[in-house]
Amino acid sequence: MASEDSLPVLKILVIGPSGAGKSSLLLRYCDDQFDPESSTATIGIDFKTKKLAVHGKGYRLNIFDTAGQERYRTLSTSYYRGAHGVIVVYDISNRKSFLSLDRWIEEARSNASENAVIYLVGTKLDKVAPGGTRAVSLEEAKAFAASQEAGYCEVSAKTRTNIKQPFVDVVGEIVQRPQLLSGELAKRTASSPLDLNAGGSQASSSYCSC
Amino acid sequence: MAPADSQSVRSSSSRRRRTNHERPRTRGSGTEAAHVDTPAQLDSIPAAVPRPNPPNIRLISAEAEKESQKVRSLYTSGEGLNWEDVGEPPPPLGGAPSQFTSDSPLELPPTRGTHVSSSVTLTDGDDPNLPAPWTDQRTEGIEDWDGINVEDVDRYGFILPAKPQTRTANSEDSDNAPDSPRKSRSTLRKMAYGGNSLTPRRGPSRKSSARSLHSHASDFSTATYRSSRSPMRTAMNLLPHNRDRRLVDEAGDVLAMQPGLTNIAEDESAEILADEAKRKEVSRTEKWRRMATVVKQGEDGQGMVFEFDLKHPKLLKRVWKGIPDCWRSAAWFSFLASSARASGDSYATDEQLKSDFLRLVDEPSPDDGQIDLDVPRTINQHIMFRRRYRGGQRLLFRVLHCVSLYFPNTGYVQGMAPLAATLLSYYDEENCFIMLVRLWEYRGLDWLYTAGFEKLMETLQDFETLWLTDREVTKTLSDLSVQPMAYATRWYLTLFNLAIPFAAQLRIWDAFMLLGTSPKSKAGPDPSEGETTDSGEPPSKGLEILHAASAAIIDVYNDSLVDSDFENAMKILTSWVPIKDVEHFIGVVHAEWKRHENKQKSF
Repeated sequence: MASEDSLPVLKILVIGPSGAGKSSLLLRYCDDQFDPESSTATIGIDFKTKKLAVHGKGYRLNIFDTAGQERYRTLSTSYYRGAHGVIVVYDISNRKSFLSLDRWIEEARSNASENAVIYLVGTKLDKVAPGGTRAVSLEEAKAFAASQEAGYCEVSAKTRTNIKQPFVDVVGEIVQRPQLLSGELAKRTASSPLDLNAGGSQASSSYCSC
Repeated sequence: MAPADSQSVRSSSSRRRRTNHERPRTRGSGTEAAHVDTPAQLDSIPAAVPRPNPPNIRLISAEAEKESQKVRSLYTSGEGLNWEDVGEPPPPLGGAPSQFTSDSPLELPPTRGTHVSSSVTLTDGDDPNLPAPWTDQRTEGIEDWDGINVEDVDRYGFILPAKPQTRTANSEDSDNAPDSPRKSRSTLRKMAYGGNSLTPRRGPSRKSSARSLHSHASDFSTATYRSSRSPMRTAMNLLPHNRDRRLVDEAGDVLAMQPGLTNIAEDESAEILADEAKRKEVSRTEKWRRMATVVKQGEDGQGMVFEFDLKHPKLLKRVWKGIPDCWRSAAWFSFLASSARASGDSYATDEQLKSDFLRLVDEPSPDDGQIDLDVPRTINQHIMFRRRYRGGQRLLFRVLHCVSLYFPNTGYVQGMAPLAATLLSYYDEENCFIMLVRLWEYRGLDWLYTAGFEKLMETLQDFETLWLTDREVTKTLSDLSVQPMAYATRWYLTLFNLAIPFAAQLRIWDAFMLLGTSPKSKAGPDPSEGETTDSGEPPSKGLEILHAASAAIIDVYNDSLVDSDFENAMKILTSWVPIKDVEHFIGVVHAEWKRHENKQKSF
């Protein structure tokens, strides 16, 4: 496709506790694959791309998949620079995973740019489907997301349920924020997305709902 | 996938205490019952020099301890576990674990099996085709052959895909990254069949994309690679003294299909090649046998320990040629043991480390939940690591558990698991633990895994400034801001486990086990300072093999990277490297290493 190269590039970071299913989510969304038997823990970061059209306009997503273990956070912080959106992933069948979200969202707020879109995704919907045990109710998760002014969606990489939704929502929200797409930031994104010295914008408190 | 109830196991401790609690030298008195006989045993060991302080005990919250207890109980199986005891049904994997092993031992893949212990029996060493000591009882149950045919498992124990499968076509974006290591099964499948049917084939084009990368791996003309060089340089490279330069210039060829090497049954020339490789390995095996000295006789041919004279004039050359697989465990063990002895100060002996292992294995670790999460997703296409909570998974858990306690400042960190799993395919759990501890202490893994990864950053900085200079591709990568941290973190932390084919990884390990040293031991009087010392040595001095191997991967992709854009560069470098010609690849690593050594000397 001739116009492929000219599509605006959006940078999305995927974070969240270990084992939540970040890589599985991306593997299903970007490559339509699901193979729990050959999954491995992410060491450092992984990189994926995907084209996506929202409101009739095409975008190229550069998606950075991060390691979930706390020890790797120091490495992950350098990837926030220039990120248009941060997707925070947790496992709806695991209460502990949900309880860690405060820290992850705080992490995103303090490292990502002020206007970056933050979005919450609950994974492993298939596990709780009929008769399974949910560790977090839909209402509770929604209320939490709302309190963080973040969008929310529950997905299953196994069954493909809602697998596109988070990305459509995030891109839809990003394009609502002209500051995010301003030439300056977009340029920086393309040219120095991995700047090690990126301290990240600290001005994040104004974003909070309270 | 983990059973649902293990989730509840993990959900008990939300905040674990990472505080490291300094303890005096009282040993073996953890918060729960520990081996009481351990201290006495230790005291009786005739250590020539006083040992450094034994590992600290990590303080653990009651909650985390409860979790640890629960998780460990899942792995208590081993021999004759009664699952009812822990209220956990066995994984639904039918079939007797050892049925296959005992029925037809001769059909097992050749040269594997040294994993039973660091020992290598001499008869074993005579012929790589002879089955390793499969009769050993400890082998039983470690591997899971259920539903697996022996011909579908490679010599290292990896399960090969049964048949080629075309990727489901409903991915709306065909612009996928090349094989990611996490998709190891599909990766193996693609590699075995050249990836031809899996990706849209494209003609060679200068504008490299991730798609054309697949073509590189399959049918990209090697002439195209060379055509980017000047004809003069290509011609000059044919001169004998330019052999190394030629290796590096033609590094892209390592991705080229060696007809038949990957699909033996269908190609006669492949059989000839395979026979040749076999013959060479037999002759090398004999050479290694002659270099080996028995330092400890085992019982019943098991547990024999060998030593190799590091000053042997041929040793270095032979290591670069590849340690015969049946000698690998013995050689690696000997190299690290030599470093331990040579460390000058007190060091932990094999026996001390073994008793440390036995003591630590019964103590709670705050990392058990995380380890339990990672164990089932570590090299799980290997015959040893398939069965949940048992066999290789159980050993992997126990070893990582002990390491997390032995190095309290580091604890368990993701990335350790593939290292331990690789070692477990050569050693039993105790020797695997010894190897890990020594890799940490004498090969700089403690440096790379230092909390906060500052040392890893320094190491990657070294790689960029000392190894990647003088290359066109460096400028491209730097202009694109594709930094080593983005792509090489995994290479260094897992010693290439998740980056290149296992056979190539082992060859890197061969060289690293012999030639690697710990950066901190070179850092002068104050090892805590990572600064370049007065001698001008870089912080990561000692990790040259890792740098050379990383540089070799960049060489392999040189032509694709030189005019790449950000996306493609990232895709290429964060993906699995489908090396087909391992010998050539190692040649490039060797050439890079020599080039660097010569550069150092000329200063």
